[in-house]
Amino acid sequence: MNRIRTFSLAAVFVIIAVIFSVVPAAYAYSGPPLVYDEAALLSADEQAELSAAAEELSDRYACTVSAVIVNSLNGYKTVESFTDDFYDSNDYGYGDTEDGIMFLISLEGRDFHFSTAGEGQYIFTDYGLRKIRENVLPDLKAGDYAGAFRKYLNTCGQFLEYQKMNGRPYDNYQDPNTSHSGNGAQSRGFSAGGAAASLLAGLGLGGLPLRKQKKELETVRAKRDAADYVSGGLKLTRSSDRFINRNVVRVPVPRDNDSHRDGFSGGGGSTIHVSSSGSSHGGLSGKF
Amino acid sequence: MAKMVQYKCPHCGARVEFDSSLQNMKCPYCDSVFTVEEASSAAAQFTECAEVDSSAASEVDLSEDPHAQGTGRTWGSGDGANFALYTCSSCGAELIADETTAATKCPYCDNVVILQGRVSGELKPDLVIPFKVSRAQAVQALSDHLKGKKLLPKVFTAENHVEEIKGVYVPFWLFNTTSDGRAEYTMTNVRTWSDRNYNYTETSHFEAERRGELDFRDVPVDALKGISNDLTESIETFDTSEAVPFREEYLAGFYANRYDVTADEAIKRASERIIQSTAEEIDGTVRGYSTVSRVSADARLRNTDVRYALFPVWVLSTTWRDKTYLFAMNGQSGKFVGNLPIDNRRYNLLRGAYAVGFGAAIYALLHFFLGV
Repeated sequence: MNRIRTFSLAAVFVIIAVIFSVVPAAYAYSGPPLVYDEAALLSADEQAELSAAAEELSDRYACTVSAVIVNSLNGYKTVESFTDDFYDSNDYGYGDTEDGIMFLISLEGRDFHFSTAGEGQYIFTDYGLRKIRENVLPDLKAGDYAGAFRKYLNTCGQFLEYQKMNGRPYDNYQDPNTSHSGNGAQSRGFSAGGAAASLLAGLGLGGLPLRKQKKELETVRAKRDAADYVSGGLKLTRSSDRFINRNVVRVPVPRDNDSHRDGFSGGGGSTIHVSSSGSSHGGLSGKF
Repeated sequence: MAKMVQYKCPHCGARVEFDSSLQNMKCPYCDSVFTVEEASSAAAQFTECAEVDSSAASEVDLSEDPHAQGTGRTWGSGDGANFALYTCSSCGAELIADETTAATKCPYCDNVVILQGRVSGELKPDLVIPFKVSRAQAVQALSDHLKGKKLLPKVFTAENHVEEIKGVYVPFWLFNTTSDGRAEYTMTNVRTWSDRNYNYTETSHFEAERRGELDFRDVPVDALKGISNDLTESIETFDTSEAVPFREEYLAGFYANRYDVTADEAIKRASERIIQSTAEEIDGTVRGYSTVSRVSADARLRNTDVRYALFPVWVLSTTWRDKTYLFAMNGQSGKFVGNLPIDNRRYNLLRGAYAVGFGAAIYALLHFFLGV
């Protein structure tokens, strides 16, 4: 009952949002709003800017890229099931296969989830979703939701372009040529944090060759044992092994409706599960 | 009555020395070569004994002599050290030798001097490993040792007096013993299986006790306070199968010391190493478990017998910026060790350069592959 109420409520919001959302006539997108902000955290300008970007992406790649902020999970246990059902019951997704990706933020528990459906499940691999999460997390933590959505849309656009150019999803391929050239997943800006972290890692890593050189200067070391002077072998005069006790720990077998589809050999692929409405989704959750 | 022995060439009368490459006595002037036994049997012919009257202060306690005390200090000996005065039979110079010196050279005429009283009677070593590595090889090993060390201060190499390397017979105690070891262990075995609903992990716990005997032959401990155990252990091993019964003749041309650490004191260090080895051997008998951890280990030594030996060591002591650096080379196997100073400025510079270099590489990788 509760669930039905939640979604009818959400549907009302969506309809209101559709009516009032500023949709530039140049885009042919029609469907539920791609940027939906229940908590009114985005300014009208931000809402317009993000919606336009999301619709442009969705049209160009035939895959809905949506971003949602809700106040709470309305009694749902996991942000994953909430997002999947939100996606399914509000008819997100392109075409019969409902291709798309949704980034949902729930303010109450500071949860977020990326839900993928249809072809979106294979375009946005587990590896790709982790990349998106890395990109948006700093802004989420800082409370800059518009910034997080901007990065999300930007990264999604790069993955979609990657798929279009290479005919396969952005994933952790071992082949440096393909994962690099045409790899849309880079942001070209200089990151001071990344540079500092790299320098720190360099400091640690650079210590290794020096440690070896330093060790070369120290050749005087006491011997721990007298193994060089053992004559003959060990004669065992007593040998006893005793059983003390035994304990057994059991853990439930993971549910088998979680399957994994490997996109390509050498790639990471996507982890797929089935939502309560029966459709399959990929996804990744987190907290901020 | 202290006795000083020198070996003279029967052909030309010059002093003769033990030659490590020939493993025989050789006269450096007329190139005559004769065996150690020949040198010994003909000792009467070419041994000169400079007998020093003990009543005429042959063993002088310099700690009570205000003039000599300074000398004693610079040699690094503690108060009350016994020094002995000798007269060089070749040039007549007065020689002062500290209490452990058994063989040395006259600083004025380079004459070989062996203080017989320091290596005879109770102090006579049971065996000696004669020098096999020559001085030239030792000098080469030292310069090799300094080569290719990027963090070594350049001036250290330049200011080093490689030529002052000395061949020293270092006294060692050798322990033959049987170690009765005992060790306790706890172990686990882990088994896993699954059914439709659960994964199971079964852990079985065990404990074990082992006792065993292990024989050790000729575990060496250096018997000289002035040289650290770390240094002598670093140049191990000495192969005692090549050792020969002690003869003074082997000392000719080298420096030698008598022990000033007793066997009773030295056995402590030997037992530490023996207990460790015994435990490690016993560890190997606890098999068939997923994990094994040793709870305790102990060993008792029995049938211990000790031998007194002189081992050949090339030593170079050098002082650089108020710190003493001691290098040692196994005079039998050629193993060379010695801690070296570090060039801190260079170290910090390199540290910074590596950090920037590696950092830039990591950043580039992150940037291009992960889009950070």
